[in-house]
Amino acid sequence: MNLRRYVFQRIVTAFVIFLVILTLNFIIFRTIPGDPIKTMFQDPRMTPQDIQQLREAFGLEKPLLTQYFIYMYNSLTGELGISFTYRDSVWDIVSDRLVNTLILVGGASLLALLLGVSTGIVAAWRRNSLTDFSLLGTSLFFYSVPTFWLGMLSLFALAGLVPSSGMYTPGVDYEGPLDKFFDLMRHLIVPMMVLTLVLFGQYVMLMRSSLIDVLQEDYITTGKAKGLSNRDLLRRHAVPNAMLPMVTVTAINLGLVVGGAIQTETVFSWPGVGLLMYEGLIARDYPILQGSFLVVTLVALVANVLADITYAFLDPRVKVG
Amino acid sequence: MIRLSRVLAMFVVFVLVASAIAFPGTLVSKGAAQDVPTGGTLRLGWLQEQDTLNPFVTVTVQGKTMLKLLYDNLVIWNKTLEPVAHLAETWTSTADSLNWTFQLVDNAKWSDGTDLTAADVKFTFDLIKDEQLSAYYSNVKFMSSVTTNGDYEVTVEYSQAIATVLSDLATVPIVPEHIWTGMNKSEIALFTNDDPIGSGPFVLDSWTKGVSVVLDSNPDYWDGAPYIEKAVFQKFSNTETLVNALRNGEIDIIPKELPPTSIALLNADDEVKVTTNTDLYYREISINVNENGAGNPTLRDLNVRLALSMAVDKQALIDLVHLGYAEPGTTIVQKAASYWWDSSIEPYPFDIPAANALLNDSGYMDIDDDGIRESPNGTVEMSYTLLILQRWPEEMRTGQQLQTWWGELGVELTVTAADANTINSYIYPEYSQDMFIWGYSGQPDPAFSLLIMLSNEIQNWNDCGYANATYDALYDDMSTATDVEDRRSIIYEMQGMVYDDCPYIVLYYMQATGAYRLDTFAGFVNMPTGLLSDLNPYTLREVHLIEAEEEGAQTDYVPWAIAGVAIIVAVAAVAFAMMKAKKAPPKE
Repeated sequence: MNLRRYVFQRIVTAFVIFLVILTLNFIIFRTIPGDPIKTMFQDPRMTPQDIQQLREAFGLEKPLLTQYFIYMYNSLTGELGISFTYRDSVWDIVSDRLVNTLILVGGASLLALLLGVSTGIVAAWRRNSLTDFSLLGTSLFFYSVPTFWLGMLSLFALAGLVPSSGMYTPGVDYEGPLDKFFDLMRHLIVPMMVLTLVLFGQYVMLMRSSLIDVLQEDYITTGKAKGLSNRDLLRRHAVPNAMLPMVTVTAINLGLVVGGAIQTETVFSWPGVGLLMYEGLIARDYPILQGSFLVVTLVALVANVLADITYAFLDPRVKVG
Repeated sequence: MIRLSRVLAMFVVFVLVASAIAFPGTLVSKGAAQDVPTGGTLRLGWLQEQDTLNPFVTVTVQGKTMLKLLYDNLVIWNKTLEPVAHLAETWTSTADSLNWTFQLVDNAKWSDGTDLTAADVKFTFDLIKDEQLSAYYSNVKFMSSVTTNGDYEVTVEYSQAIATVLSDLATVPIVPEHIWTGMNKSEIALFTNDDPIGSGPFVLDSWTKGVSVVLDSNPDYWDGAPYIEKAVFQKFSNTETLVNALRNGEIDIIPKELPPTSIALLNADDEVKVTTNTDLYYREISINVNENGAGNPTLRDLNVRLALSMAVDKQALIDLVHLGYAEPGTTIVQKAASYWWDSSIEPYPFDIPAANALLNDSGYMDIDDDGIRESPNGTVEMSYTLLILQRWPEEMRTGQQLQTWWGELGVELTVTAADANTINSYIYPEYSQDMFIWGYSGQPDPAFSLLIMLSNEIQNWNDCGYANATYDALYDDMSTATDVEDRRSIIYEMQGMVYDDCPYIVLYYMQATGAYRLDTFAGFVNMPTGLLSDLNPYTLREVHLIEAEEEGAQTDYVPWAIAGVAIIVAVAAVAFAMMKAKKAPPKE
């Protein structure tokens, strides 16, 4: 079946792209100056013999091509090395952080989508009215506001009401999973709101313009002529068609936002992949940087493939041969 | 028209906000009435956490601070930085100082329940010596043999009489034999020690890396259990959030490295107390004087270095960069090591005309009239690159200021920020840097502060390439001078020698700044090196609640259940309102 073959093609292409990215990753981090052993152990007291021993332990004495193949094999099996700063498995650290980011980003993306789509629909339906302009203006304002500024502002405004940092209150003995869940919610609510506000603007604009286009189409006029109520017209014909570009944009955004929630995570000390990358950059922790870049790339790739497939699935007009 | 749905939505939002405000914190309840209330969780905030909990690998101040809370030493620095008894209750030494016998306390236990005995002490010293573990090797290298006599007596024989027996023992943590036995040097370097077994006043409960560290107090601590039940270290990713967390009461104390910019703000707050104290820490400009190095050769001329030293206004830098929270630097001995620091050494005057005159007299003229002086033989320009640690952005201002001052001397200075590893790669092994700004923390005993200038520490701790045979000889004399006043005069001579040669321009002796809230806990100990450091475990051991906590405070679910339902209803209401809005005819 054409769809099946299309899906298969897309997955294979994505995999090849991933391998290319892995290779580039390898090359880039090998060209960075500085001895990885000295970076990791940062100990000026180490003798040359110590360093040599550790180089052998880490396989850095092997020929470069061998290192490359070991690296490729390791990366594909989830062995991403040891972090210089945390001295722990990069995979463990990054996967933990990824879950935290997904909680934040997933919730915010969903809310942004809901808010953006509904606002876009209203704005499009009432285009060129005061409602339209004020909605559009508000969305653009939040879209253009720097994330960290909005974050800091909300921190100061809500000081004392909700915790200002972190994901959980450290050192607390929870009375049960519900207790832990509520602690998470208390910490999540402000960063999620901030990220939602910053994200929803683009959905408003996209939905609005997409819907305006659709509303110009002939079949809408036909529908009205047929006597369909405005509500039915919107709900069954206009909005579903206008949503198509939203699918692509949402999927792509999801891939980007995983790495791009850096500002929110830094302001709120939210322990996600963004903060990990920021701190890894400061500390020059190359394994962590490599690992996080890889994971963010993978998420973006997967999101893109899913977007393509969903689009092909939704829109019968797309040729999948 | 006022839509019911809009009213509904607004009501729901109101309930949301109200329930968020109404949520009470969760208290871990404890505490019967006592003279000093026990229990409670002290919440600390910092910007950087420890690198590792492995005592032989850690190089950060935070790591060494943690070690002090988890492990013990035979000897400990007291609150006025004198070495006093700890695990070693008493000791005797022979007249020639070659034989020291220590009686250990008999009730110290490891956190897994086993007893701490003389065997552990012997094991620790032997391990460091045999495997040449660089972290503490210099503290044990003169031990020729360690023997035990029963479970609680250790005798150490030294190959020569050294002056630093007690300060060495105050530095080496005692580790349990049954955990560390059988590991060689590489294995020790790679051992994470994520579940540290120590004998100290605290035990690690959990370490979520990059997020928080939770310590439980050790109720059976042989030297008196801490009053608090837990200490939680929260890592913040920026200073604004850290300071605000203290002001909001989310944390109880910022123990160290309180940014000077926040001090004025916190001083105005009645509920917060700001503390400052001397710190065993200075920042310096390290000038490459290595004759075999690849840095700019004009820097190897003493007159050049003297001229540069005379063109640095340290007080101005302190006011500009550190808002006054530091003291002008002179020698490489820490000022806070007050007995050993030579206060009679006059700082070089800030005198640019005199510096210019000195350069003129030494033959450094601007031959090609480009504003930059050349060396006497005309081949090398006085053009230098200053590297600054990129994690100290405030020192970039120092660099810019130096550019201005030294520019008036006819010196061209390029200032570059780089991370520690990059700077290290310039220094080792080629010594190809011109100069860089870094810092050194010290111990109350100046042996380490002086060690960094030894010629045999080149490629190791000696990052400027200073090589002075007289100095090296004096260091050996100093190490073996058991008479304290003799030793002091040698140390005065040594620091004077280095000061006269200026391989370092010590910029400032930093201050330890911290702040704590006054409303929940009391008993904070402010001593040299601050509220919490690798020399100060006392705050955490002595801090206690002001009032005993209430029994049985429970989490109230009701506001949160309302909030959750409110969110769902809010979203539904908004969606409903939007849908209703579409019923109106569209504007064309």
